[in-house]
Amino acid sequence: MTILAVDAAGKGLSVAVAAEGRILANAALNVGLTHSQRLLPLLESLLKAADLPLAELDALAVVSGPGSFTGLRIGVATAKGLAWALQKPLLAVSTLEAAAYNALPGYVDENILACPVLDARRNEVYTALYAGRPTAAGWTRPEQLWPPQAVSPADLAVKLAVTLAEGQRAVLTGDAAELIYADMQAALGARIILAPPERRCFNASACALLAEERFKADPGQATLPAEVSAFYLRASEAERNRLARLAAEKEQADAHV
Amino acid sequence: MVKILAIESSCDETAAAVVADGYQLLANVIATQIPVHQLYGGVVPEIASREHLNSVVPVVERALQEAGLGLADLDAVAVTQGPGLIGSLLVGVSYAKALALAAGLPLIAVHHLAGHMSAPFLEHPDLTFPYLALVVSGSHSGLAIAEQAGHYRLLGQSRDDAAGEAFDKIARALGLPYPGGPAIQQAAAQGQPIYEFPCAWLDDSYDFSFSGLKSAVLNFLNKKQMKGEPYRVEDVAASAQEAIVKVLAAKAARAAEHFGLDTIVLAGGVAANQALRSRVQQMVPDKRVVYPSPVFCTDNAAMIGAAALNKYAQGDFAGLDLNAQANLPLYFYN
Repeated sequence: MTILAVDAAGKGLSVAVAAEGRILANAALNVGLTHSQRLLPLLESLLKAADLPLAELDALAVVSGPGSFTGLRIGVATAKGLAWALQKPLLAVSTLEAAAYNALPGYVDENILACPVLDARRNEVYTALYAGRPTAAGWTRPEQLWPPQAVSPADLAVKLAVTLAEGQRAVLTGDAAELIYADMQAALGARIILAPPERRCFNASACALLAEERFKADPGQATLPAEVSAFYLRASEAERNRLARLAAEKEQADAHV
Repeated sequence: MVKILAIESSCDETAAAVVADGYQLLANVIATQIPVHQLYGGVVPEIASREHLNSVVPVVERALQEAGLGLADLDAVAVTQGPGLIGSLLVGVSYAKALALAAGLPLIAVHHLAGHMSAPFLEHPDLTFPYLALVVSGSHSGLAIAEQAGHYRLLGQSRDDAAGEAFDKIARALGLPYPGGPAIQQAAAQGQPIYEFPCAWLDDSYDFSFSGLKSAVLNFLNKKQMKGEPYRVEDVAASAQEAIVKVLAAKAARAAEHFGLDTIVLAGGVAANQALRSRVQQMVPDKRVVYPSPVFCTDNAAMIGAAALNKYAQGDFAGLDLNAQANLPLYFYN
């Protein structure tokens, strides 16, 4: 099967086509231009150069979050539009899982865990921890050790120090990796490694490969375009404020009883 | 026959419509987010963007079903490029571009206010250029001359709050629900404009200003409450509505006279206000005053399709690098 994947979740922008576990085409930009203006021209020129008509795709995949709220919506809305118009299934892949999958094969060592970090602003990163295992058939899907969460780099360093067993190291990847690497290294020393630049912020190819694997394992994983949503991880500020206010009011009311 | 699928997502309505030659409306679907935003007393941009992403597929799907058409039957996809909330606009623009690429259809970028000013054609296809347009909504208040299709000359606009915004804020102060326009109109119908609130005339300019009125109403309410004096919400609503309508109608009438225009078009959500409609007609009894039905006054995609018909006829298409623009100027937009 042939699958097209889109990643506009972070600072980098990428599109890729995979078929039967191979990457047929891959294009990426990291020049600070708006994803909204670049995504479709990049996708169109890639497919043209690869001589791959849209109609020959079997499915679409999208990096669905966490990430920049705006970037996620550009990627997900575009993928939904393509999938709906082409009447093909759409698979959503976690940004963190794709980033981990992207980083792990660079290290032929089971003692290396992947720690993707994505810019979450407010001095926080979206992160999770993954383990990968090389097998005869290639690298398995990353196994999630921590659920996705937003934490400060300082808290992340403490969590990693507690989690990493003797001899284990974590490879820092994702679009915030470079930003927090120095601080993480100061706290964790040789137990933290920085993924090489080409593996840090272009996740469309990993997304395509993961989506294909999931689709083949269980075609029920593919959904109608209408059912795919972005995975923001964080509620909007207005929702958080409202819930905090309601909780405070409830506490006050309970205190009066 | 030309058939255009239009998508609008500039604020808190996800909308899709199919419009054909001669402003025939084949489908018009609007998914409103009003109940979601009512929890917050107004539109929350991040929440609006999220709702658009969830609604855009079913809304477009339903529009094509209603029209009994598939993508292959269409001639173009049109979308609101701006102005509006950037996160909301981006959902519609990204989705429309993807449809255009996948279906091999030309893409048409439409200015949201050009859409509002084209809305009257849906019910009055005999309308002719030039005409004066008073565009009043929750985020815009402007006077423009529609010289010909796609050519608008802006005469003036709000320097602070839009007229609809003033309705929303005053409604909130009066304990009336969001959106404020319909709530104030309803309350005003049971009241009398017995209080004189200030109107900002701004000399000879065609600009508007409504923030002073909002403050005056808030001060009035504060004083009344501090002194423990009774007042009727209905009377305050009627008085505030009067202050807004008076300025809008007078400036529209003066502009129509000054530029020798025989037709005044009222557009935007506030154009659904009955008092505004009758006041404008009263002030210019010899002119034609055209206003859309309420469903075409508030945000909708049918008006985007109506504006897109002209751009289609001119072959004015957008590229796949089209970007949403929160502040898209009207004057330069042809």
